[in-house]
Amino acid sequence: MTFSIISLSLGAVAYLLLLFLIAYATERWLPERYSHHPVLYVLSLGVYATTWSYYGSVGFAADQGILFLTIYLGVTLAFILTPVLLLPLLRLVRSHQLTSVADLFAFRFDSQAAGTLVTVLALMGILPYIALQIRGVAEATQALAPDASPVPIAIGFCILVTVFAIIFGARHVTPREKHVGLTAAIAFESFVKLLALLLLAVVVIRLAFGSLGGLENWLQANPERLREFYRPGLEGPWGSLLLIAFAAGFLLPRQFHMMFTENLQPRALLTAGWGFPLFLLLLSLAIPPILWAGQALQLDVSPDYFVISLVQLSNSPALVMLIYLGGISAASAMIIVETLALSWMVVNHLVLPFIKLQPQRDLYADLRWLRRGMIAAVIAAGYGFYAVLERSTGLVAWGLISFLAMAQFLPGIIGVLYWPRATGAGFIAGLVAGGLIWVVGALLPALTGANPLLWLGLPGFADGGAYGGLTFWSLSINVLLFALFSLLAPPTKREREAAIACREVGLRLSQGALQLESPRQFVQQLTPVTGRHAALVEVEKALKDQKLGWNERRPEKLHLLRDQIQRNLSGMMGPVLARMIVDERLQLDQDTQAALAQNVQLIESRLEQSRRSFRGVAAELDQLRRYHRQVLEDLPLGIVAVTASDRVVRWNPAMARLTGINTEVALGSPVQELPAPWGSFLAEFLADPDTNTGKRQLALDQETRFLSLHKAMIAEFGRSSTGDRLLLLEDFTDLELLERELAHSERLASIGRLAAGVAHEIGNPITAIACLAQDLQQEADPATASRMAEQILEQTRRVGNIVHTLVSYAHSGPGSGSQPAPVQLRKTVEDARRVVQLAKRAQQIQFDNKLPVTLWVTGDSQRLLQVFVNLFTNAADACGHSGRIEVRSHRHGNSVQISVSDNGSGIPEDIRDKILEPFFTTKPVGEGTGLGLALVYNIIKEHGGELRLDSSADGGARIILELPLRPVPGERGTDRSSDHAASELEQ
Amino acid sequence: MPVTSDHSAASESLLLALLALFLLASPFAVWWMRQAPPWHFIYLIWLGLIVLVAALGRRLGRYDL
Repeated sequence: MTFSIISLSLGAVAYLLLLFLIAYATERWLPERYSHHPVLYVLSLGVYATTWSYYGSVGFAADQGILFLTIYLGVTLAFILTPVLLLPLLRLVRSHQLTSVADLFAFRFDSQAAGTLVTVLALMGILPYIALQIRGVAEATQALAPDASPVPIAIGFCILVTVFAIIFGARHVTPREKHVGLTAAIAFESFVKLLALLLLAVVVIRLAFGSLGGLENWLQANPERLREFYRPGLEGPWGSLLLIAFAAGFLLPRQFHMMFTENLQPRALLTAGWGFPLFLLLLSLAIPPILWAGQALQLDVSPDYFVISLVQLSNSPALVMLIYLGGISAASAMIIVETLALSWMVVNHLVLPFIKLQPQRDLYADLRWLRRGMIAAVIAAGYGFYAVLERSTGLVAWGLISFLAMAQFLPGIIGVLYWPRATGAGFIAGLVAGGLIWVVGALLPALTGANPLLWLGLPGFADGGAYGGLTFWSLSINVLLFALFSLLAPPTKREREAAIACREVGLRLSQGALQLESPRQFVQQLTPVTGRHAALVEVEKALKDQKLGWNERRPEKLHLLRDQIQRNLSGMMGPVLARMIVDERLQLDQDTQAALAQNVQLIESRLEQSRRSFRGVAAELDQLRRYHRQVLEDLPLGIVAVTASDRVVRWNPAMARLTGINTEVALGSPVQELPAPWGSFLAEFLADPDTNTGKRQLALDQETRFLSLHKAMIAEFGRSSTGDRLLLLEDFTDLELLERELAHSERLASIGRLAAGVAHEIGNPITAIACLAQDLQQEADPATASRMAEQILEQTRRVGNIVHTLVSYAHSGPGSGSQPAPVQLRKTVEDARRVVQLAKRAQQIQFDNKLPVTLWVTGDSQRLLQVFVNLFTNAADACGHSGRIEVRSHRHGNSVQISVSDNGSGIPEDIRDKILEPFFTTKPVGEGTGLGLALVYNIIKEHGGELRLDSSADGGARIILELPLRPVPGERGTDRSSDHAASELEQ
Repeated sequence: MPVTSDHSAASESLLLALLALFLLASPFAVWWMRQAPPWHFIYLIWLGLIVLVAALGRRLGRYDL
């Protein structure tokens, strides 16, 4: 059965137009749940099966029997290793936006030369393979339309696939934006290939054998066919072919492109782990029946074209057209995807490194057109190869030549994933050696027909036995030089960083402090290289990726922004160029150690993401780190770590609860810029030379907090101090309020105890007033009446004074929280004396207040009054009616000591340890609460002072209060300094 | 999420690869090819491996990738 060239051309054009429609419809209308479905991804990987698989596998099976399956089984082995091979590569490619295998090696070895070399080798290996696809289409067309000239067919086919690749494969300039239309079209092509071959297998089985049982009968009748089928497996290079197919399964540019670059979701790769081998199984399942059908029917054509010849025997034009379109599918899918992948590689590694970007032009448009130009150039070069290729070379030979070239990248993959010691020099040395052996042993013989290996007495590649030898020698020498050169010289710093980034995706940190302070400065810096528009777009895109805003100032966030920009640029123009641009334009100060503290949070968050990949000691260290961090997180104290440049790098949950400031907001912010009043409060303490404070009051909107602050310098291993500081905040608010409640209760209790004396004090003048009033009633002499009235007034003043004293004492309630102010201690002691002497038993006590009027301290006058009231009350209780209390002061450095001595019974030695404890009392039940001295102690501590117990010279008790001398603000128009006041204290 | 999800999957996939090599590229493979079994025998081995890979992928799919 033959066709006219016109009908075949129309069929081919209609089919390619259908591909256009599928791609267009997928991008425009297909819902995401379908366009992102893993089945499409799995089928799109079917681009692996080219005309070599479609037509050539039958020839391969005829020539090499079961060896033809190695091409599929090797790929299955690669997919079995998905968790240890393909998934890590996918994570790496996605994380760093690598677009090709050349990008991968250039990134890992931080070497443009590595990328360039990989690109050159890939071009050399793939261009003849593209030519092979053109030849497959042209020869299949000729087989169906014998009068057709192959040249216009080949040219027309090349033009159509070029247009398709440009429209649907080069729309975006970064791998972030996927070509879902392209993926859908390639998936459809794979489906057509599979359907056509399976259908053909069914048809030819019926045609040649009647049924599947007929095939089995034929094989039993011809046992030599089965023996011939298995014999190459016993004698041939089974293992070597498995190995090169294993490499080709993910290193061929088209496989890498569809598997990694166009991957929409990592989970789809798991489906592909079994789905793609199943696709290959079904595809290859058709090959043996087709081969044996051709042999049974004794077709007089090359087995490479059994597919076309057999379908012609079916007398079904529709089936013939389907098989023909299956071949078109195999060829077009391969050329389109391979060309796209090669165009990325050529642009990133052969063009961009050698031209200067023009910032005044539209970078995106330039890249897009450059890539489109490369697509056309690669297909044109493929056509050129087709025009000059040796026609006698079988389809299989070119496929294996291409596979063997890709296998030379295998040692590099070990360096990428598993060997951090590997260097760029080792990779290049190995690749050059392996590549040269491949050129001499495989490429040149296929291109020229001359075989240098034969001149040396070695078997040529065309000889089946040489597949194994060439694979063995090229890879062995490649691996040997790779290891040798890697071990000869240690990896550079950048190679080490890249190796870490490859092993621990997401952990890569650029070291040093960023010199830029805002995203807008990023734009300014990038503009001279990328142009203003691209710089703006890239910074905005990176800000969006990192969920940051244009007002971002936090150094570690800007660090993340920088890394994101580098990754995004890497997707557009390759990792080496991207790194060069970022290193030059967004510079880091490598000597600034602040970077470590700034990166703490970043390191932690990335460790969290990568923890499942830790093993052994690393896993234990990570557990230890998590435990220590959890200790800090769970501490009920507020913890703030601040860098030397006053930026917050740790803000634990207790601090977030205390301040109401979210950790995300606090981290990276300058301390001063934290929301009020915390910013100024913490900044003030950081500036304070004191490392500890007593309780400090902080007025918030609706409450007052009492906080105790501590700080320490942070030292790093091997350095005395980094300049970073750690702040601890203790919240005493609840305790303070409780204390105040207790103090108030104590005050009320002491007022209760004073009640009898107060009643007596008030009773006397009232009695006197009553007597005077009675006398006044009967007094006729105005002068005497006036004198008596004066005496009544005098007595009421006396009552008024008593009431005023009591009211003053009871004035301060719980939580009043007055601000510290200058307090004249002599007056406070006098007030306390008046209060205490309201009690009858204290009225006979002799008070000797020797404090100078110049003695001022800063504090809460009411609370200090409470101190002396409590001390005097205790002293009065201990002394009895003939007691004597003396109050003296003595300067001691920057503080003043105030001693309160009495001539009572003193404090017994055995209760001294307990006397300051709350509720401890030696008084009878009902006469004391046991809170007096405890309150005194707390109040003095609050004022930053100390309290000590001692004995007076005459055996009584002596309480020594030590209060810090603080600058005293002007009082009554006169400024007093503590030094001036202290000079007058020695009394 | 268990910390060992990646590790166990890696170990299992390596074991599976070893099994595949044993079945397809070892003296055992030479032995069964020498027996000239039915032509679809290798496809059954292949299908068995695919089923095991699918089971492994199903387990790994429970974790974040």
